[in-house]
Amino acid sequence: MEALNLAIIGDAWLRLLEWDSMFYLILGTIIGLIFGVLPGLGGTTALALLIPFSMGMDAGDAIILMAGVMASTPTSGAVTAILLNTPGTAPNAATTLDGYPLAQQGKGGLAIGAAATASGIGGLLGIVFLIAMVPITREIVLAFAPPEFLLLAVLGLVTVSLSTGKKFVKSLIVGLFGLIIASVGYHEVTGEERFTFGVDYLWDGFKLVPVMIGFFAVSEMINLWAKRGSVSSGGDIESVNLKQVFQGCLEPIKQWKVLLRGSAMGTGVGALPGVGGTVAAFMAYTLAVSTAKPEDKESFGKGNITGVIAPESANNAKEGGALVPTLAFGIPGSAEMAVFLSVLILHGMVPGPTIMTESLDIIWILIAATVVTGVMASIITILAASSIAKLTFVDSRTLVPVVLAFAMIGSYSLDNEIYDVFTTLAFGIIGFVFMRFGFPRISFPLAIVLGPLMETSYFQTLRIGDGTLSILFDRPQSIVIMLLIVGCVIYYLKGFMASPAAKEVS
Amino acid sequence: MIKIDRKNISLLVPLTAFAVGTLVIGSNYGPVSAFIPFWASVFMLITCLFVILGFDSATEEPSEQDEKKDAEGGSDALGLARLLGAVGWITAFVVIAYYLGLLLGSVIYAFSSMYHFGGKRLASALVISVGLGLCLFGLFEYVLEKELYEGILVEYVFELVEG
Repeated sequence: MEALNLAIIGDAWLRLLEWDSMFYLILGTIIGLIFGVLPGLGGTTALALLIPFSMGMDAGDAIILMAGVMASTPTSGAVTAILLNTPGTAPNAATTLDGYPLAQQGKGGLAIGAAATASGIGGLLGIVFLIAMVPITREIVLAFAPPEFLLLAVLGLVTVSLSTGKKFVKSLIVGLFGLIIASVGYHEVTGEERFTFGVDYLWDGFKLVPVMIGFFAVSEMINLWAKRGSVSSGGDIESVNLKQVFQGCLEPIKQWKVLLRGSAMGTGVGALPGVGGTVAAFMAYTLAVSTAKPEDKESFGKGNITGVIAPESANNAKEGGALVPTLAFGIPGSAEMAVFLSVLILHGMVPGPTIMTESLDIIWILIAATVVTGVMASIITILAASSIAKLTFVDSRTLVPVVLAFAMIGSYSLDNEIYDVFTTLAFGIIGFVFMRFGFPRISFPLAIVLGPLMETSYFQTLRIGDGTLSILFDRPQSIVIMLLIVGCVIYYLKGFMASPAAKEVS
Repeated sequence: MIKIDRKNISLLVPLTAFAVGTLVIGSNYGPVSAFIPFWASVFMLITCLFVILGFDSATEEPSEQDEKKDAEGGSDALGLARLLGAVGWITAFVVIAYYLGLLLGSVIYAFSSMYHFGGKRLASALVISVGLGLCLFGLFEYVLEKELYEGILVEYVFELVEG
C-alpha cells in the first residue's frame, strides 16, 4: 500500500534525528508543557501564538513544532490538577476528582507517575489508531463529494455546539457569528464583495491567524489581567517524591484493562467532530467507575488511582483520533484542531484525499513527532513534576505583557500589516466578552475554518444538481449525514422538552 | 411564561442587532454569495431571540462556577470597572504600538504593567521589559528576518531628522 511506504516512514523517523528537527521538537514539547500547566491557556492558545513563527519554517519543521505542542499539553495539565486541584486544560478536570484527594493523602507523586504513564501510553494507542486509518482514509474520503462536504460542515458545527451540553444554543450563536465573519470579503466563486463597507483591508476577509490569536490568546490575557494575582495559589507541591512517582508509573501497567478502555474511549470520542477531550476524559472516568468491582466503587472521588489512569489515557489518546477527521475531511474535531488545520493550510497542505498522497511524508513526520513528544513529555513530567507545578505561581502582571507582546508582534509579522494587530485586538475583546457571558467559544474557530468549505461545497453542489439542492436527497451518503444532523437536533429538543422549566413554559 | 434572560441581555441585544444588520445587507448579495450570510443571519436571529425570551435557560442549569460567582456578589464578581480596565489597558498597548512601534510599545507596555500595576521593583521591571524588547528584536529582526513596524510617530520623527 502506498500509504504504508516504508521508505517514507523511515525518512520521517530519520528526520527527527536531524538537529533542527530535534530542536523544534524539544521546543514544542517545552512550550506545550508550559502552556498545558497554566490554566486557561492550553494547546489552542499555544498553537495560535506559534503560527506566525512557523511561517518562515520548512513545512516539516513547522509540523514537528506543532506536534510537540499538541502532544505535550494534556500531559502537564494533570500535574496542577493533582497537586493544586487546578486543571491545566479542561480535559484534566476529570483527573482532579481522584488526583487531588490522592495528593491530600500525601500520594501526589503516585498520582503524577500514574497520570504521566497513562498519558504516554494513551497517546501512543491513539496514534496506533491513526496509523491504522492512514491506508483506508483516502478510499473513505473519495466516497464523499461536495454535497457530503457541505453537510459534514453543518454536522461539524451542530455536533460541536451539542458537545457544550446545555449551552447548545449559545454555542450555535457563536458558531453562526463565526460563519458571518468568515463570509467577509470577496466571494471565492462569484467575486462579490461582502461586508467590506469600502474598507480595502477587508477585501480579502479577516485573516485566519490574527483572528485565532485574538480570539484565544488575547482574550485569555484580558481575562488573566482582570483576575490579577498569580495564575494559581496554594497547594502542596513539595510533597512529591521521586520514589512515589516511579511506583505510580507501574500502576497503569498493573491496571492495563482500565488503560486500554480509557484509550479506546479517548480515540473513539476524539474522532467525532466537536466532542473533544473533556467529554472523552469524563466518559472514560465514568466507564472506569461503572466497570470497577462493587467494593471499589465507593473509593472513587476519594483518591482511587484508577480515577486518574482512565481520564488521562483518554485525554491523550484523543489526539490520534481527532487527527483523522482533520486530515481526511478538513473537518476539525476541536478548537485546537481548527488552529492546527490553519497551520496545514498556511503551509500549502490541503486536507482531504490529496493529503494522503501529496503530503504523505508530512503525515508520517506528524505521527513520528507525536509519538516521540508523548514519551518525552511523560518523562519530563515524571522527573520535574514540582518544578512544572511552580510555573502556575507566575504573576499575571509579568505573564500578560510578555504573551501579549508576542501575540501582537506575531500577528503583525505574518503580512507586515499593522491593521492585523487591530484585528487581533478586536477579536480578543470579542472572545473575552463571549467568555465572560459564558458563551462557549469552541464553535467560533470551527465556523471560521468551515465557512469557506461550506460556501465552495454549496456552489459545487448547485452546479452538480443543475441549480438545485435536490441532489442532497439522491445520494445515500448525504442522506445518512442529514439523518445524523436531524438526530442531533432531535436529541437536543428531547432534552429541552423533558426539562422541568420547559414544561412550565408550555 | 416568557422570562427575559436579563443576565445575558447586554450581549444578546447587540448580537441580535448584528444578525438583523447582516440579514438586511447580506440578502442583497445574490443566491450564491448570500447563501451563508443570509441563512447564518436568519438562524442567528432566531437563536438570539430564543435565548432572550428565556427558552434557553429552561435547559441550562446554573453551573458550579456561576453559583460561586453569584455567592461572591453578583453575576460578575470581578466588577465592570475591573473588566473595562483590563480591556482598556490592553487596547492602550495597541494604541502605543501604533504610534511608537511594536518594539518600543512592547517595552513601555511591559514596564508599565509590571512597575505601575504589578508592584514589581523598578530594577526588575526594567530588566524584564528591556530583556523582552531585546528578545523580540533578536527573534523577529535576525532569526525570522521580519522588519518590525516602527510606528507613525517614530517614522515622522525620522522624516523630520532626515529633513
